[in-house]
Amino acid sequence: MRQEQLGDPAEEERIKSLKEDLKNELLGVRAGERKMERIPPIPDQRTRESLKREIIEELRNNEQQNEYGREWRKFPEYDRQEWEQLKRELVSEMRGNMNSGRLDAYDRQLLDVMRDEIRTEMRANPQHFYARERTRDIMEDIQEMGYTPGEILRAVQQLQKRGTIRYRFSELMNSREGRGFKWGLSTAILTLVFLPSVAKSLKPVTKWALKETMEVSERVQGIISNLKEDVEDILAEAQFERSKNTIDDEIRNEGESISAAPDGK
Amino acid sequence: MSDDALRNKLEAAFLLLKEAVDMTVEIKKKEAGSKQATRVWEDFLGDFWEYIRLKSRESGCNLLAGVSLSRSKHT
Repeated sequence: MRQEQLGDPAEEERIKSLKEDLKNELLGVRAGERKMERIPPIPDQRTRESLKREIIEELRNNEQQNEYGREWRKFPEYDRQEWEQLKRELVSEMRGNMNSGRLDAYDRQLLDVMRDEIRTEMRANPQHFYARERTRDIMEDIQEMGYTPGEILRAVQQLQKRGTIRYRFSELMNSREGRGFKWGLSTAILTLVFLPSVAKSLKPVTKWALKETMEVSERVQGIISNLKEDVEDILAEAQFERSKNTIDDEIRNEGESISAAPDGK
Repeated sequence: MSDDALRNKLEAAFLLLKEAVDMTVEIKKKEAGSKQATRVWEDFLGDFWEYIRLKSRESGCNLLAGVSLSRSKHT
């Protein structure tokens, strides 16, 4: 399917143009930070898959200590900065696809297959329907309020890093079920962020995580119903972070307008 | 100027704010449904927020950088 698509010149042109846009967008944002010394090789499918694996693995383990990743050494044609840059581009592309709703036929098909499988599982285990529906509703509500999946993800990560969610669910989180629940919620959010681009890679992970969430759902339904409070925290955090970024932008603009003035004032 | 001076200043401000909150409770009890007190709070918070933005811009230093909402709530 993918091969056929790539063989289509119009499709290839569309993908190329999309990538170019995303690249320009990314480089534009980072223009003030550093200049690329050379243009890195265009990533092929193998490179993209490796990058995806690496991103997913990092997200899964919530690891941030290894900035340059573990897999780049396997690709001697890239230096560390290029590898990291490509990774950012790929994340941006995944989010771009999700945010703009530009799904290609292949992604749609994967998404449909995944949906069907989840529906089948839910039909087989109707008692587990609640947790999944609840999480989905909450995330849809947040998105309807104008927050991007990326912003939600960052807010959730902030809260988890600071232990806010753990604070509320301290007892639960110390249990095996609690860890499963937390992982399941995180993955549900990640799935929203990255679907459909990594649907294929995430599928086993997601299925596992949903299963974990479902297994604990009966025991923790009461606590899940308190999720609203956590979601409010997530929203407040996202809103606050956005406000802080706005101030940063204003300061930057102020600095630029001063330096652009003819007399430097 | 020191951190202690700042802390003292904010503690004094907090006492005033507590009085304002108590006052608001009384007003709300007397005039249920009145939006006047709410409007006063909105104006106050708006002005406060604007001042932080203004001073951040003027000083080139984001006064909210490093401030954590969740840490503020849960410590």
